[in-house]
Amino acid sequence: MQKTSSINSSAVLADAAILSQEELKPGFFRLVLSAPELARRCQPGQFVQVRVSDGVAPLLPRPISIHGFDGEQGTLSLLYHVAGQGTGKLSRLAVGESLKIWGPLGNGWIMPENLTGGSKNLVSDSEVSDSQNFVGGSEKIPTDAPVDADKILPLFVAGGIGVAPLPPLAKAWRDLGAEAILLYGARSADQIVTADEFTAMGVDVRIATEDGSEGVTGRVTELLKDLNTGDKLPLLYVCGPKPMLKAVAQLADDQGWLCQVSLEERMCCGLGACLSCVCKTKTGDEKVGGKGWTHAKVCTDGPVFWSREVVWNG
Amino acid sequence: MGNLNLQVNLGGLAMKNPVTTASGTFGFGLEFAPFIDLNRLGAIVVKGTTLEPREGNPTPRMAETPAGMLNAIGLQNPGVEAFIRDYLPPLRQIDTPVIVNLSGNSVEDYGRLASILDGADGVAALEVNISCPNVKQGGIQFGTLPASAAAVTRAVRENTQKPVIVKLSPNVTDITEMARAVVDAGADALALINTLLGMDIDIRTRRPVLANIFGGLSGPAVKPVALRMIYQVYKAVNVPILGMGGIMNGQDAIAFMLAGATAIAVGTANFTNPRATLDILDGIEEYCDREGVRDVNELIGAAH
Repeated sequence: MQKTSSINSSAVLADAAILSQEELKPGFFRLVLSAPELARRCQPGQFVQVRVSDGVAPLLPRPISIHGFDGEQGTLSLLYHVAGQGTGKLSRLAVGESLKIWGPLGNGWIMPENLTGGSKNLVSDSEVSDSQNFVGGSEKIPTDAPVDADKILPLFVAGGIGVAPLPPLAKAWRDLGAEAILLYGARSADQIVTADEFTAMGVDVRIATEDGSEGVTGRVTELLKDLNTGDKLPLLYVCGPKPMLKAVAQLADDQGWLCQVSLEERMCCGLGACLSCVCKTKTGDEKVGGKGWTHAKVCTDGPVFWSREVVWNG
Repeated sequence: MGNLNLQVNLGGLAMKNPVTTASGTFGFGLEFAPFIDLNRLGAIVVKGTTLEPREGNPTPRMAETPAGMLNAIGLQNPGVEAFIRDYLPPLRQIDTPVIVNLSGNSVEDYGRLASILDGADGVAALEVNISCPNVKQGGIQFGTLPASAAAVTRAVRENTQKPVIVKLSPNVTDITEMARAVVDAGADALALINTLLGMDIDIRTRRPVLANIFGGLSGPAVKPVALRMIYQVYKAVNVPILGMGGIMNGQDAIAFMLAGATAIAVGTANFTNPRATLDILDGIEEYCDREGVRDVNELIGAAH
């Protein structure tokens, strides 16, 4: 049966007032919204649908990942890059105006508490978890051995604006006292934003730019190649353009590391209804005459998936 | 507003109000449960269902266009057996009739689907999608030829006791010809319009935007076409019409009823506002209250 449990039962619709709108670097904006009920329900790695206009231009909402949330303050922050009509219009909205948003949507990153305790949240291949509380793109952790959070090296891997959904995750690992690393790649220094937030959380930030204007010259994969992981098992949390996700996933797979990727697709509803935003994921049934893949919904089965679930060449 | 009668009858299907959902925009209904009380809807039309599971088309499957959107999902669905087993039981808990949209590759497929769904508890009516490719006729769509549209309708009619609503394609020269053909073949009601065939091209990549090249256009951009076709079909046949095509608010819904729709379906608007169906229902009630309308049935076809 398909995953009917992946419905976003905690999502709410909100008229969110704009508290601040800041251009961090040319074309890169951070928007802070007041949305108390929504902010209380967020998990790292989830996203919201943002309706930029009341009219027909643009018509559809924009899925934007949650950059930060504060349940006590009732605020939500979104980090976005102006890419087209919708984000352009969003960037021109000012403090005091409000936006229709709904969420939190989707399954976010696997959190340290879901790794600890061995068997509780680790599900073998023959079982399917129906826990509504399980946060993570997949119901299965792709390793046979129990995994303890203190044996994990959390590695955040960002490509450009892909850094957006990572701070709440970094915060969760910091709260555990974990030593974490951010590998952050972009075309040039003027596309590196919010790196200081990670530094402030004690994350070891390493930067690569394609033009060499900051950090190592090259792509983010350069930073991965010489990584000293000590006696810990890296758990990669990756968000960025698809070619980057694929390259990092391949590297992680070759090394036997755990790797989660946050996928992006064109989306209409964000609720699992329209089936616009599918991606191919493995089913393992090719050995029994099946085709070996299925179309999973990025919005409700993801956006976070284990990299080994994804069919990268589909 | 307490005296307002909102009940309508769509070809034998009694509805507590005229607001339904357009197939493919509302999933299997429960996806919208966090935002609206599903019990308030007049009916729920669920995702298109086929005999076998289908994975649908490659991505990109959608593109935004001026005041509209294109989609080429390709009928991704778990198949009729999985629908009955996994999705129908929770839908039965809702006090709203469920209309199942069905699609086939052959006339026989439609007959079999109708027969299977006829025996399914919790299915109130069938909406027949005749706009998908006809494999046996080498790619010609059922919905663009009166004879094949009639054949599909007959196959469904002969295999079910439930109301049969045939959803017409607008991609035809004369919509009234199609309407007459399927009514003569036993349709209890008509749904129109399905999406308009369209495409978009990315001038940067110099390639069509959709992987499938062509897709169905929906949203406010198609509303004038939909209204015109409903107006024409209302005059041409004597069965109720489920009207849809770019309905975004209560005023749009009223216009569709005035053109001849007995009930209306909300499609693309569900993506722009997950509460769209109930906002539209509220808008209909407000209009009736303001205009002194006691019974929504007074509105049906009143523009003629």
